Amino acid sequence: MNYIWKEWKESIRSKGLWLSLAIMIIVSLLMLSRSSGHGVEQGYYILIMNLFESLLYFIPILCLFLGAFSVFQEKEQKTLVMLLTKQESTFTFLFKKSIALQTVLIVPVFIWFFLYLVPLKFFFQVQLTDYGFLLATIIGLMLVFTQLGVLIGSYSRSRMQIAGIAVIIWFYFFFLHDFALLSVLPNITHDNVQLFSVAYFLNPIQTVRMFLESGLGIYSFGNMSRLLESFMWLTPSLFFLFNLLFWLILSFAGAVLFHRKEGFE
Amino acid sequence: MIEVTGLTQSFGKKNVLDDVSLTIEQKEVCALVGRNGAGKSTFINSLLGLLPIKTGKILIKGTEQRKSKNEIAYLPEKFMLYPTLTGYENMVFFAKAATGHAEETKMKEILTAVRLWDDKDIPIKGYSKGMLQRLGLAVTLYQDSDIIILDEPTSGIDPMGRKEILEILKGLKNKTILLSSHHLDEIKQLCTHVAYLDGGKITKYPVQQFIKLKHLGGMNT
Repeated sequence: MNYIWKEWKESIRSKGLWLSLAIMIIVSLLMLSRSSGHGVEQGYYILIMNLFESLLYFIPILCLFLGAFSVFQEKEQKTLVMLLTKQESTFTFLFKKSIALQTVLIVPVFIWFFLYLVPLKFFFQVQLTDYGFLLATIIGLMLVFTQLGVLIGSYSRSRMQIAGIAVIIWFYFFFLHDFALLSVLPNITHDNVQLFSVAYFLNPIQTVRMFLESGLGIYSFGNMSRLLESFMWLTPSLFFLFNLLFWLILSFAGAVLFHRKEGFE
Repeated sequence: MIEVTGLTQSFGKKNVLDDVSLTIEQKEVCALVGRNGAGKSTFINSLLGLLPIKTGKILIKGTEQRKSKNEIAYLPEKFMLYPTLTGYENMVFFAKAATGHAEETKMKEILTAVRLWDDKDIPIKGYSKGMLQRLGLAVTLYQDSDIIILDEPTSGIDPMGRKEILEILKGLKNKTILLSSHHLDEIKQLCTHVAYLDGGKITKYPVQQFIKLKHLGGMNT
């Protein structure tokens, strides 16, 4: 609780959180006005998909930077070294810091999307389950990319390094991962399709997209070819859950293992 | 109280600390002196357990350094704490992080002692360098450790601010203090001993003997 309290006070008094929240609010209000002309039922799904597509580009890079700078500031301000010489180990510090950071970033976004339901009710026929899928994807993306940000902050020794690594990671998940998979696509057979599926669903961007679109009923998994059946060897919800766990654990472990203290190594 | 035996720390092929041994007794105030790059930070970081010890042994109050983490309070050089939090909020956070709870009466006592009680509700980005240093000392003192390590506690502070810091440090009784410093007047006022670090080796002197040697030109600090 001590870390959450500290992180909250720091966040509400600095611009980062408010600016990010303001952008999310503006984007979601603009999407609302754009989709309101499509009718009460169809417009609702158009809004959810448009909102997802817009936030998909914005949330990862934002969370990467917020997570990384928050950890790096602890090095710059020498608070990290003061904490490590007392009760904390690198593991406990990063654990408490991650929990605090995730809470402080997710709670305001969650509150906004709860309030957002009010205007939605006026314009559309709201399906709460479908809205829940959207919220889950947003929170999932925030969790994964904030934790990756913590890894970057823990490893980096300068702000330039943070900027470089964050942009590379963002670029990788948005473009390079798909390019790599496309290049092996002609060689996919029934024997290796599960391996391809694992590689495909390692990308959180693709996993959340599949989770949301299948949740909204855009995709149907009723009549699949045998190859596609082997590709979808788990349900989208399970792929989403495992992807979340995989990246959270991997980036946290990486942050502990590759942690570099400032100035004396 | 602090017993370092045969400590060697190297970066690449260079031995920054070469078979260093040093004992600091209880209630001693010892200055750690040496030129820039002599290995003062490496020595302090080894004492604090921030650097792994490859060769040698460090005993803090008779127990191995890695098991005695809470015995030492440390104030680094050029720290900033959390600029958007007030002085009081910084104290509360560090008190809870170090001891698990924050006692209001104790915090009031310490903040009054460092003359920051009246400014406790100002975000510390509005503090002067001297005020920030005093707050850092307050955070360190709250931890009630017998051993205090201070890295250049008056670095970059104006003469008035330095005087205030020195007054607070002089008032610390029953504490074992190791402070790194480049200021001879500060060492003269505060310290009982000087650990002089040069060429990877440490030699310990009573403060008067060190000052004599320094005046004879035998010490580069």
